[in-house]
Amino acid sequence: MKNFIFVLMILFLSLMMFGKTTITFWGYETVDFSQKEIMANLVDKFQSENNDIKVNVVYLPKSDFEIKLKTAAAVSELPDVSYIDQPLLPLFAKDGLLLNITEYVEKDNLDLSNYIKGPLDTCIYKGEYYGLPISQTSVAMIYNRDLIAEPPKTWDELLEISKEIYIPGEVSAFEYLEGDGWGAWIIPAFVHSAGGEMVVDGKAVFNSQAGVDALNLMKELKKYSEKEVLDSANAFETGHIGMIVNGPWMLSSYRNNWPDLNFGIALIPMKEKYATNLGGEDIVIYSDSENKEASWKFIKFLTNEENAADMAMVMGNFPTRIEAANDPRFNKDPEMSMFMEQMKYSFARPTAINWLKINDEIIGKAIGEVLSNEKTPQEALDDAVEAANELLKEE
Amino acid sequence: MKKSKIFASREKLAGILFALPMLLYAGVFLIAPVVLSLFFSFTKWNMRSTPAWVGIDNYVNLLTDSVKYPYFWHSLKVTLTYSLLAVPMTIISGLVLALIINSIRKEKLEGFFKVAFYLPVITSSVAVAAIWKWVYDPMYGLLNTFLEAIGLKGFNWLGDSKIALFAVAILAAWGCGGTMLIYLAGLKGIPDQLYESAKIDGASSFRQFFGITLPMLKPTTFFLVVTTTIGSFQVFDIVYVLYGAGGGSYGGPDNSLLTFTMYIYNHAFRYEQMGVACAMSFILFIIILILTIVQFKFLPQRYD
Repeated sequence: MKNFIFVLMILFLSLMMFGKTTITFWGYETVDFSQKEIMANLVDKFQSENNDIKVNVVYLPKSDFEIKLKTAAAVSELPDVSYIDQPLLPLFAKDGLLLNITEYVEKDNLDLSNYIKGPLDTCIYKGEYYGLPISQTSVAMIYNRDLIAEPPKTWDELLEISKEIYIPGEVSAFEYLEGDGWGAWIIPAFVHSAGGEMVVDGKAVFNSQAGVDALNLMKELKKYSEKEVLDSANAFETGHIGMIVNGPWMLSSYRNNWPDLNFGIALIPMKEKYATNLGGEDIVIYSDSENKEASWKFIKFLTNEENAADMAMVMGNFPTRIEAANDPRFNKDPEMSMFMEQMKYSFARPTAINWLKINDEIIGKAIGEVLSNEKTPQEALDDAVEAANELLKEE
Repeated sequence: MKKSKIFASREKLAGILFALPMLLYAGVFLIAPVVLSLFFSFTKWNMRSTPAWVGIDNYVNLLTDSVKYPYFWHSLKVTLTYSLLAVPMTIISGLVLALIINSIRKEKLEGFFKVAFYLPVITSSVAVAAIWKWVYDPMYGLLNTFLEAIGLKGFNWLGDSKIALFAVAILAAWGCGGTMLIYLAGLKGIPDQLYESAKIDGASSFRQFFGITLPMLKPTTFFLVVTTTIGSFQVFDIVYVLYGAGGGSYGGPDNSLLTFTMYIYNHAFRYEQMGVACAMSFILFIIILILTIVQFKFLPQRYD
């Protein structure tokens, strides 16, 4: 009798296992343990709502994530679902690795207007959706309250305050953008603010007046900022820099390691309109997945109204849904909420195969040439646009 | 007869077995990747799609297309300049340290200095970078504080595109412990009689150094010049940890430290052009090969 029950149990269990679909999900290793707990709770909730699906979460270090995805793709070992850094989405989509979810969206009548437009746009490749936005982040201006009482709102005020607080060899006004990959990554915020665009319909157009204005601003700001001071270790934290442009990921370090630093967050000063750059992750399903329906349910679940805020906590970034942004964990925190405010004015990076190369080698180079007075902003940008268009031709 | 044959074949088998782990290792991790990357260097490949054969396009574009690869020649120049600075500095400081240690007659003290001077070689490059970032800090750095104390003006060592390469070369010379050890072995190999007879002839220690020590070290110096040059053409980790962290640009100020290997890395892992990166590594291989042949031809290798 005992044996009979045992056999029955085994049979039942194996049937249950057989009936279950297992999906593998790759995510970033979290920064602290509480985030992992939130993720585990989300997975539990999902599994109890969907008895037939089991989710296997694999945490990978964020720094190796991209290389890991690429190598996995090379040997067809991709998971069912993973995060993906926004600019990688069109590249993976182009190679046919991602599932086109447009028809799933239509079939379920998923209301995409609940997602914030900037991040949602990063999921589009050739007019079709290849993922859902899951986290977003952006840069804003961080300033030293001991040096600056009222942060500048416009470029004119920015220059005025810079003049005021600059002390040669002691205080640099603004961490201006240099001719490197980072500078090239931030400069679109200023180009957009001056009413310009980086790329329109696959053509580089940043040699407009807006582009020239942005570079001229950097040139002006450089007068009140010394590289020797900017390059010193922790110069902002120790009160040697008035204003920098950086992201919310700096906050925990400032709060925990630099208790004396009296900092504030403000919108990046504007010329015609406020603007910033968008960063963040999308969540995607791979086209090789054998559990496309289950995977779709899972990514829909993680980005729905109820869970989007939790998911943003897991990733240490901001939610991508409009309602989730009102969660007190984000909008009650005075500094975090400023980044949220800034994010309303965000623009996605151009999605081109060669964008990183254009960023580093063409835009970065142009900024460097202008700051070192080798070329005028117009000359440098004209040359850069010509070279960029050459690279943009490549599909 | 038969017995010895069996013995010979068993010995052969044992030999192969002993060599097998290393052979396997070299085969899987050295030879196979080299052969594969030669193949990939003729393809367009982003590590995801199937490689598409493009013939010698990658090579031709690298050498001629300054729009697609604006920093190719620049990175080569950076590497060459770096080598011209770092190789002599490493070799001279290695020799000086070896001479100092060799002149110590107390065994324990000698051991201590050997370890002390060798320590930078086995220190992780991340730690090395962290230390030197502080030494070179433009406002609070050890070096600038010292320079200002003696009335000179400090520099923005790692941030000024005109001197950053020099500053990094100094850092390489600081890690000359390996060179020092080999020189030390060379010095120990010079017979004492040579110095004794020189002393009897009344040669100054200056004469002894140029007349005996340096010529006797020729084979050592030759070996070191060749290996250090090869190493400095492949400089990567120190630049990567000094300039790679944060920001996503790996070339240092105004790309003044965009070395050839850094450029390869960028193409392989940042710009998704693995095929081009492979082609670049073969170009680097050919350059190093030519350089080594030239060195073998024109540098003195033995004492004459």
